Amino acid sequence: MTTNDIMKSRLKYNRPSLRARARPPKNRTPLGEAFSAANMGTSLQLQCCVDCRRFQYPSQEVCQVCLNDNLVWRAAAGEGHIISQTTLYNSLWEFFKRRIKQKPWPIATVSLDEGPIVFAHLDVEEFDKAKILDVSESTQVKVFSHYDCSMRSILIATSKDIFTDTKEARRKIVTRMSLSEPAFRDGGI
Amino acid sequence: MKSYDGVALLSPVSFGYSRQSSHSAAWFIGRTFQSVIHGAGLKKEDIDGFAVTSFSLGSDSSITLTQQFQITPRWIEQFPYGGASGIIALRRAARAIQCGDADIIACIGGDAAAHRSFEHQASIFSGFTIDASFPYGAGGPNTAFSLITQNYMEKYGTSREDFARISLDQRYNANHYPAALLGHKTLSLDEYMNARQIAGPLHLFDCVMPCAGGEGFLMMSEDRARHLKQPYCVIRSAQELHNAHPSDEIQFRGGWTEFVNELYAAAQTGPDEIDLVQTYDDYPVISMLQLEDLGFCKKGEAGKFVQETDMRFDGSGALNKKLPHNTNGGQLSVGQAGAAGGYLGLNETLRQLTDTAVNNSVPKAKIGLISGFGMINYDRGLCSAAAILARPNI
Ligand SMILES: [Zn+2]
Repeated sequence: MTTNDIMKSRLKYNRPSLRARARPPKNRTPLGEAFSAANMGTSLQLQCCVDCRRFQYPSQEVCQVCLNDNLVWRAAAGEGHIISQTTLYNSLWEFFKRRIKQKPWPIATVSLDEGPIVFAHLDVEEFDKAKILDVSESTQVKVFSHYDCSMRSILIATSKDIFTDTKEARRKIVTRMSLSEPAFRDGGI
Repeated sequence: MKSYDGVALLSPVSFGYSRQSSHSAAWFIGRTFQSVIHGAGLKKEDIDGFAVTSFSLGSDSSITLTQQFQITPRWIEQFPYGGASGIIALRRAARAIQCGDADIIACIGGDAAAHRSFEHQASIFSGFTIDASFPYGAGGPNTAFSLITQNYMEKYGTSREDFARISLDQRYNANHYPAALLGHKTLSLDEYMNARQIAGPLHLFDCVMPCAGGEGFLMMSEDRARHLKQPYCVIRSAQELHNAHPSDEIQFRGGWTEFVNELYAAAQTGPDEIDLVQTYDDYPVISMLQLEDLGFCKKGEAGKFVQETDMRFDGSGALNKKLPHNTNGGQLSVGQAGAAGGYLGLNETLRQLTDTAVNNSVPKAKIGLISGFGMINYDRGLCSAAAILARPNI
């Protein structure tokens, strides 16, 4: 086969996924798995250095400041402000590709008052819809964790006035954001 | 810092750019390596130093490639620093030559682009990426750059029309550089503005196109280069800094701010005397950060600067102020051949300063600045590097 033929045969398979159910990325490092496990059923648990009393995220092997490994999971309030926000019209992952076909996917980076900078799915429904574009630098938000339908803990940023103290309240938001069930495809396999 | 006197760069090769390829990285590196050696009239056996940069070598590395290519170097390196790899390779190899650890070093960047390989690379780029950014929409580098671009626009009032200046002039340059993957197409302001939206303020012509390809060059002593009767250029100065400004909430500057004065002082020059600039342009906003941090304009004023400056290689644009920038079209128009993208600006400068640029040569260019930016991890790029190259004896 010439190079051109190999290319053509590869391109033949360059088609949208036929899976009936597409889910968010499952893959995590062992530290990411530990984060997922620590956050199941809680509002937000972040890695904290016992010596420096400092939160850090993403999860790491050692404290970023003192380099000790004296790290524990500790409850964080998750309050902070938006650093920057964007909407994705394009994704490399089938789950998000299907969601984006319905509407662009909003995410943000948030600076937590407790220190870390986090990526989060942005709950735009809970901001005044007319002002979605004003959800920008310095908008006050609250970040909580929840599992998605891949059973991995993910972070959600919502308006700081929204009630998120109970599991039910948090689940309602995640369901509304269509993270709690797969992206279906009619007639998929 | 000790100078880089006595070291020569030569034999720039850009090889095999293609949108997708069934060839592996080792093929691109091997074929580029061959062209680099032959270009200087050398034999494989003359090479005693070998440096490689690649994202897609898989379980292979610079050392296993020595067996594949049957070379026996006494100096070996691998530089996995993405867009800063070219300048980092230049700095390390220059020191090895000055110290006599190697006489002739080949620096090669090469990457494959098999079907769907980019998705895979983006999803496993680093631990932070796997755990804490890819699961949020899986946008790859577009995500971090749309956040950086959005923030920059809000902070400094920069518009999409400003970013367009960079993409449009680069496309003109690419139209004169045959290897550019998008060089056969022109780009108008309307086409730029109405392009498909990708992420927040980023549209299609703001994003580099991943591709396959190889880039390579040779380094040796000036004496050796003269003896070979090869055109070469010299290093006036070079600097790097990594994970700079870690407490900035979001990236609006890079490590260049910390070494820019020293960079120009060591080169005995300044931004006004630079004949051509190659910035690392995976997205226009990043070129703007470099133009600011490297002293071509003040912080936040790059939008205004590009609106006033003709950045075409031949100065044929309407604007009075001239600064040839990304003179072969940059990655935005040539394509981003993985980590080889980090060698693109360096090789383009080498061609310009050795009179080997064919249709896009910058008239009377004597001194060029290259900037590298690499490894977008989580929310920001970690490597900053820059070098000033010049023709010898000026
Ligand atoms: Zn500590």
